[in-house]
Amino acid sequence: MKKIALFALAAGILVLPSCKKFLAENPKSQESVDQYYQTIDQVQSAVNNLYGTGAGPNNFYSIGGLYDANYAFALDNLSGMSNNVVAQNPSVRYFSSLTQTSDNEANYVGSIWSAFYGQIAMANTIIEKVAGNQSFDPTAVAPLVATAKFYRAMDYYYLVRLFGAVPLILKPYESLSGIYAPRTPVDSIYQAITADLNDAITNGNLADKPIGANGNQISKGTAETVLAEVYLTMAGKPLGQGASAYTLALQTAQALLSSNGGYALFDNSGGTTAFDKLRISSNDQGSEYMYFVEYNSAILQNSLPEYSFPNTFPLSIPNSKLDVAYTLVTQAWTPSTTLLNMYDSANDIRRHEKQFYSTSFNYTTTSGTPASINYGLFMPYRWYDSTALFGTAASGKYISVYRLADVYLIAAEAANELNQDPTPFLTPILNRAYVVPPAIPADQAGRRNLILGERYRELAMEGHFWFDMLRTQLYPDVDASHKVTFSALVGHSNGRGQQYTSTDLLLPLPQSEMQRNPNLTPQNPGY
Amino acid sequence: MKKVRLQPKHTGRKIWSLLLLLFTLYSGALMAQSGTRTGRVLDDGGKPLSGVSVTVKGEKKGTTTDDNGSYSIEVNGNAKLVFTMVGYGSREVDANKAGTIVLAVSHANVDSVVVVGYGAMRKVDVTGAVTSVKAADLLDKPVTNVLEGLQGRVAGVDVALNSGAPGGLASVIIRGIGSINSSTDPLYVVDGVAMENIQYLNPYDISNVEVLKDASATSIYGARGSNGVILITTRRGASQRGTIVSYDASVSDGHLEHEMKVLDSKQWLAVLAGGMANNPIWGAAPRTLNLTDTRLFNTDGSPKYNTDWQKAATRNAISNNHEISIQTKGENSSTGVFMNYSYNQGIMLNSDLRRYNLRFTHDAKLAKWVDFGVNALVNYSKENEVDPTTGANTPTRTMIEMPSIFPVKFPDGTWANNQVSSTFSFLDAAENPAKVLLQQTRLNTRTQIFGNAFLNFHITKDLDFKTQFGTDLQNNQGDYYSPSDLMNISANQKGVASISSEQYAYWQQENYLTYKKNIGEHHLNVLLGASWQERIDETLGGSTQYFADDFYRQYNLSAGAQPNPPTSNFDRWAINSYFARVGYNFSDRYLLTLTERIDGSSRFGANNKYGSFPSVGAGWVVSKEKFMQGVTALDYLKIRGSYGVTGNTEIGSYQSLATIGAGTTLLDGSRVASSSINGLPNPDLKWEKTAQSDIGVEMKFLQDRISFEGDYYYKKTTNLLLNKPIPNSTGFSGVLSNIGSMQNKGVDLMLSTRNIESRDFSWTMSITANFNKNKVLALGNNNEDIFPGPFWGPVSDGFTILRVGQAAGSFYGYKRLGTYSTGEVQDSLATNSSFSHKPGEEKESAQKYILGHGSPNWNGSFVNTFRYKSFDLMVDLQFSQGASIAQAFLFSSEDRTGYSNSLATELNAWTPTNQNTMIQQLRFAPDAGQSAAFDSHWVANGSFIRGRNIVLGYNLSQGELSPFHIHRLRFYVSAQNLFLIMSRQYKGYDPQSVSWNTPGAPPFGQNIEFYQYPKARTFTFGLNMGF
Repeated sequence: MKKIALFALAAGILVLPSCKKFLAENPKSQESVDQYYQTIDQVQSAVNNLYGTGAGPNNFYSIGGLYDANYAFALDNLSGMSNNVVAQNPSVRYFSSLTQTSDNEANYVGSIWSAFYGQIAMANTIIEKVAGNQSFDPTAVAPLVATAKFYRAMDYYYLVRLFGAVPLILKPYESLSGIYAPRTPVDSIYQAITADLNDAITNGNLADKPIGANGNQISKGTAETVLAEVYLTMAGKPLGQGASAYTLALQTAQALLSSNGGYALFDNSGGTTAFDKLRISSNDQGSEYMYFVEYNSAILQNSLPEYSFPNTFPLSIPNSKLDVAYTLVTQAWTPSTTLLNMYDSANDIRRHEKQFYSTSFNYTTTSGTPASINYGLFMPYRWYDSTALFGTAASGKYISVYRLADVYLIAAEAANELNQDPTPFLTPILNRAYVVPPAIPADQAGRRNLILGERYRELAMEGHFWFDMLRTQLYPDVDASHKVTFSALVGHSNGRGQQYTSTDLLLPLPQSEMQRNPNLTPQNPGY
Repeated sequence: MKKVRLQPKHTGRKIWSLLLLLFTLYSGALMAQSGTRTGRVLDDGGKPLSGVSVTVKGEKKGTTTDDNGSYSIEVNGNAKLVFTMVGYGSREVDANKAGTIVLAVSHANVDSVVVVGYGAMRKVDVTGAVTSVKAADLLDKPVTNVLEGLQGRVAGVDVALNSGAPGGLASVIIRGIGSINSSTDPLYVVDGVAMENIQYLNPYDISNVEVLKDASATSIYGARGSNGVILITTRRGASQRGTIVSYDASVSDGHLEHEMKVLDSKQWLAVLAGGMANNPIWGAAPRTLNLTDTRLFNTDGSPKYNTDWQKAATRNAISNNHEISIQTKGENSSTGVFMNYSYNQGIMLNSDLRRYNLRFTHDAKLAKWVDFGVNALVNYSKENEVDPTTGANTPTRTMIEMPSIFPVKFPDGTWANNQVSSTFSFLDAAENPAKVLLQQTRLNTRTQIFGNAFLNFHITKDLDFKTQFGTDLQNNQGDYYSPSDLMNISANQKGVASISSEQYAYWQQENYLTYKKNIGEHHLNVLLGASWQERIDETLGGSTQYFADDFYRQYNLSAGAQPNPPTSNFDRWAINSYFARVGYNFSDRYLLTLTERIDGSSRFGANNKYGSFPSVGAGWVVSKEKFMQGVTALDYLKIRGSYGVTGNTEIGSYQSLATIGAGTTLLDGSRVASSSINGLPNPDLKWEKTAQSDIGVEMKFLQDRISFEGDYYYKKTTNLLLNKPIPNSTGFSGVLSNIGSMQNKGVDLMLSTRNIESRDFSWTMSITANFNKNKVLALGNNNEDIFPGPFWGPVSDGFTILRVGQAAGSFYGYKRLGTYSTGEVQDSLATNSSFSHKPGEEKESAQKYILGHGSPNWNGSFVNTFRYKSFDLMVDLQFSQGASIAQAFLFSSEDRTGYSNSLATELNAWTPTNQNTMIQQLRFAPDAGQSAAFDSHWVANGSFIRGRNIVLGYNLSQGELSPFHIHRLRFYVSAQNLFLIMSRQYKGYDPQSVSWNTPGAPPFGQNIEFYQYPKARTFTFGLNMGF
């Protein structure tokens, strides 16, 4: 009897019905997608992610390896306007010697590519999910959608300039269907960019004020600045839309310049020049900034101050109590001779010691005598942050990407190309930059040289050089009197003994992406 | 490079010539004689065995050995003597050759029982590839964990002890790498309960280890079996009535086996000056070396110090180990208590592992129809770890790269680092390795409670029902504090403290019926069962910085002014399984095993929760056939074959779902919540499947003096859990999918011989070897190359590639063709004015190539044991052939000069008069950096022969011991890692190494090295005592 009972027990345990719940997965540290994008706070949280440095333009400006710096520096380096003598990433070196191939750059350009497309996917999801949900308050959700569209436009703007025709993806993927997207013609991509930016400006319910006054969030002015530059680019290479696009660029820039949102250039008042104001962190949220990457000394540190001293700089300053708090200072971005020669060292305030650049460090010794350490070269001073350098090794300095000065120069360039008088847009820039402002030439070509030259002088260290070269396909030449003229980019030397070819006008499509996506053909010419 | 290459052909030839030799030795003309035969029977430790039954084969007459193991027996003509004793293998010996007989606890014994999944089987009945290792073989040398003991004992099991750190992770690969994203570790089952972190198990707790290799053996573990299964059976109460107490102790002294050759102070200054002098070549401003800092230089500019940093960061490590065991048996129950304390000091300063183990077992016969057993262990360990990562300040790196001109401490007692002098501030900042080792806290505390309890009901004479509950509870805490004066590590943060804690609770409930029936020559063994397993893992972490002083360390996180966001995580998985096995044996000649397991796992997609894992195994004991009876030299021959399917589920939970990843981001001066989608869902996600075929042969010759076991296997893994690459334009890089396949083909060989057996002297030998070849057969939809990493600073493309047709995780990089010569550059410039290379610069191929792979083709061991009277000697050699090793450390210690010290190879740098060299012209990297691409110059032949263990023991005789009431006393001395024969191309410590070996690191890190914790050469003195 006992044995029968035992047997029954055994049989019973063996055939216990398997409980479906036992094998179900209910994650507790991650939410499932279906539960998400239901409330405005959830949408806000998704939008917040766009501001992170992990993807999109902010990733483009954030430092990878300290010796190798960021992608924006790599382009400055490619343009021959800056040098990085310490780079170890072979990819950076291939670009600077124009020896890049689709093979040796596969990984480097692959990460540029995926950082932008990663953000595009985030933006697509936000736009799609909000559109599919009628329960949101339209006025509250509009700026969130506008921000998503702004970033999507920025991402495509970088991609199309760097790679040319790229797949245009405007819907999020939720399964594997349709993942092999082909290259979309360049003009369609620009159409999508301008559509997104115009939509953000018109329907976004965005505040009309400088980004810093808007809680560091995308404002109407931010979108207008980028849109104006997009039109300027569309006017130039490769679309070559000319006058129609110049007109739109001028109109967009003018709309911003005439707005009463509080946008204003820094000035030389109060014993501090405008250019030193750009350096000082307390002005980071000031009226001139249109778009920046935010940093914070406690939460997310900017390591650019490490590039303000040369390798030779003693970390322990002799005869003083000053010690550099960073354990490494290095030369990942120094101005090339061509760039430096564009500035008149006497007349151009930006070139004065400790404005944009610096050649020495001055201090007082413990015995009270003034002393100086001469670098023997020009180091960027824009990123000099004494608190971080000599105290905390933690800099909260924002990285500037677009300023109101861009908008003036965009307006000036567009006006000049339309054969209108650029003086009203050029004067504010020249007046604050020069001891004695240079005369504006009367001829269109002369004015073009001045305006494009000013872009190099004014917008240095903000990652614009290579993009200006691409859209104008012109390369600056400078004479002994600091006068800048331009000649064709293709065939011009990069200042290091190599010549640009038409292949260099686009980056190679990432080889691994071409393997992954058989419809992504053909490779860019020459690679 | 010394030749360590073992060609398969040669091995074969050697084995056959050896066999031939032994045949000649033992099977020579046998004389037929009648009369009295006398001799002695000893155990394999040389101890006399009393009570051994000695009989004449086919006759009833017999005798037993006396207390001295001696026997005397009458025989007629060509008789055979049979020696048998419980617990030892029986032996048949030709009466003419009788004399001193050694009875071994032989794993080759046909009647021995081996543990298989959910039960035990006679070895003869097993149709799968199963290798048993007894405790005696595991512990015949000093070992600190079971994996060390297993090394070289089982053909097909590659145990790579990749670090010399106490508690350093070992990698165990059975029959080749069978997975890409999933784990490659075997499943460890201790007394029927799955165990993680096996390296903390007390090796003295082990009675025997069974390694299940082929599908017939592993498929009973279904979805967790495809990397092989290691079954561990622990020691329990005494087997005979009475009490046995034993005590084992050892003390050992370890030291650095050899130093890496680095530049001394003067050489380094010359290399620096040479690099600076070359500045103009690279367009950099000229520089000269400033030798005026009086703290470092004499007035004539000569360096004051010439520090040997490797010496400064290491020490003589004194370790000890104590094991006490008490085993008793009463009428109906037996009990065992096992205690172990081991203190294992590492040769790098301040690194050690202290382990306390306590284990209790109790077995009782509750009634005629039910047995009960319980086994509980508590394991507590504290490990002071050396930073195992690859950062700038890891002591394993800085003890090589710290220039010798800096002292460890200045005469005034202050510590030096490489930034003490402003004239050398161009150096890549590095803190003093000795200071980091002594002042940083990196403490891992692990507590494990593990055990099981079972009831075994004897329902009928043939039918048993066993129900067992097992659990593994672990709490692992990591404490970290780095004080406020460690430059470049925690000085700017004014001290950094963190505590991370992981708790997991695993339980399993298994019930199974076993039915054994013998009807005439038919033997049936049937198993039917079900299993439930669940594991819940919760982590918690907190870290903070900016302390007022270094008092609180990690003990008061609230004292740090700038806390980082806390972290926590929850993870759960569950498995529900049903399994069955039918073993059939006809007449001990024909064997068949059918196995099936059905596993359901929570980790897999809604559409694929359950999977089925069948296998079939068959065996033929040829030697039992009538036609073989005449073949006297061959005692045993079994041929077996198997085919089956196993799975691999070891991926993270929730991988089949699309989830939202949440965190924070900076916006307007504060942290705000941020989130994004982690990936695309895959409701079809399921197991990796490995189909494995195995053909094996087991042979014994000449009265078991030679035994041989060989297996050929072919493993094909399909449905690889692969992050299937999808276009990045989707926003995601891949979807975890079942795609792609990979194969492993190979041979396992084990040969053991008893070459000489005499009264005073014996010599036994064992060779184990495995040959394995791995090949990727298919990857994603378009067979795209996959770059699985490891990714590392300057090698951002990763070191390895998965490419169809190549071994998984092959090294992938440029070829170093040499250095550009002056003439070559002139010629190139003549045709191409844009040519950008300078004379003396390293010359690399334009394309990348496969440069080798990290896993060996051949690996194995060669163990010889000698006994002379009371002495025993074991010599254990390990060999490995065919692996390459990527010396990533050459990036900063050879290719790049000016930021740190360099290897002595820098003295052979390119100069106009020394143009034929791989070492590029000296360059001062802070002013003129160079590319850091991974190239073939970093890759060295990783083959080696290691003198792994040499142990010399002395057994005191019974006579010497009897006054002290001691049954057994043995003293031994041993040397571990006595020598290492390796390639000259390899410049590090040990060509079996990993620098990316932290949990969760990329799977293909084997033999990619950016410095390592060196393995010690250790001398041990120990004793084994029984009361």
